[in-house]
Amino acid sequence: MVATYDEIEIEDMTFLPEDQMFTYPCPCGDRFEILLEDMLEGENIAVCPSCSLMIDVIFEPEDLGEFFEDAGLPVPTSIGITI
Amino acid sequence: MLQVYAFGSNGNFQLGLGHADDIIVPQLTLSLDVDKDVTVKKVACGGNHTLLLLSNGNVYECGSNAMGQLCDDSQIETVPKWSKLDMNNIKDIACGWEFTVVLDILNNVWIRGYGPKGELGLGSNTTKITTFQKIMNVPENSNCKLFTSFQNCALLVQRPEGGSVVYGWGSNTKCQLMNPKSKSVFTPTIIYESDSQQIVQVAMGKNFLLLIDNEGRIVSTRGAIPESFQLDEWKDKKGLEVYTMWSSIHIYYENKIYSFGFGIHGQIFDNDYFQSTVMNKHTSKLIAINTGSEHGMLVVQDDIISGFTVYCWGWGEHGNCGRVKEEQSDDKPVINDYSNLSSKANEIMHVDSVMPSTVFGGCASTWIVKYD
Repeated sequence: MVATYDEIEIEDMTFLPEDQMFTYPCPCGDRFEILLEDMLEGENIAVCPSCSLMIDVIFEPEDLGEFFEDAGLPVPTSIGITI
Repeated sequence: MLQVYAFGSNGNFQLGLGHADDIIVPQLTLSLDVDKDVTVKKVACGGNHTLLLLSNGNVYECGSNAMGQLCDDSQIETVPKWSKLDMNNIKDIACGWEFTVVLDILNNVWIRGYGPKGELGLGSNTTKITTFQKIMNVPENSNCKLFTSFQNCALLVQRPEGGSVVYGWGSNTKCQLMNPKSKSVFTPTIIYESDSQQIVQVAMGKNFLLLIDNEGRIVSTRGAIPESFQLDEWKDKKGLEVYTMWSSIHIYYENKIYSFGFGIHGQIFDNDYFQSTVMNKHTSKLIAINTGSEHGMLVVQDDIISGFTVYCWGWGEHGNCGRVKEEQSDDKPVINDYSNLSSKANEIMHVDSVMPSTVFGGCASTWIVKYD
């Protein structure tokens, strides 16, 4: 278990559909990054490319569906959205 | 003559040095031949851009223009060296993550840059604007001040007949402006109003704010206040000086700094260390405190030494708390070597200034002003 700088809910992060990535401002001026694909596989730590700080991203797998749609990708069946 | 020194995070030229290397030794970045009574009123830092306001109403700026937060020419990605803003008579400035707000002498509030969470106050349809746009005008006989955190903005209006109003806009996902929770407050909205209470400061963290009155009392808090802070323990105390980092509150009261919030990078102030290693109890005085995103700065004056000494504490990964005092030497490089990740009060620089040196903090950047 790593000590992270902060816990951030997915609704507070910015989604970049073209990069299929979530970002959130880091106090160093750069941005924490985490890939949508990695989150689907259970990753929840976003890292800053410029420093050692990391954040815990708070989300449920089913939160991810809409972002696959935003990125123009098929929604993985594992997310389990059923209508 | 007025000189500004800067160090710390600099990936988008936000230190105004003409290069983009992080710096661990204070570098002279701006020298201005101004009248003796002209001071630096404020250095306001966004994520990657900087504005500097003089008491004569002139503003200088540098850093990222990726979102139009500095200049009108969209071809200009960054302003690597200080450029004078072509507006004069500015009374106050503030920067959020990628936006810029200024208040002119007629009490017009102007804004520019990027604000997907309502930071521009221009309604839900406008999230980016690359020229200054007026968002508010307040009667000229009111006294106004601007405050920001990275995704929020507040305008304090002190009414001439007494009392005050605070307008807020931007992100509200942690109720940092008002209840109930909402994703954004897209236009300037009254978040506090009183006919009698004179608010003088809106101390803003990343997801919270505190309102401070003219007697140095914490009147109200909003949002995700650090859990260790209990308003009940502080609300009856007067004479508080309140400073905020993104994730912590620091209160100077009766010669001590009380810190609340995140502290894994040294942000929680160590009073015992400071008193025993920095301060001489007979001759030293702490004359100024300020904070950046996750670090703080102190100015100490000693009766038996002329000038002022600047110290930094907290998260210093980008060089913004200097090299650790014991490892400082003139022949070491000024480029950050990541040797100081976090520190207790660390001596940075002795400033031979004819007026008290002032200090400001940005996103992992530190600013020191010297007057000749």
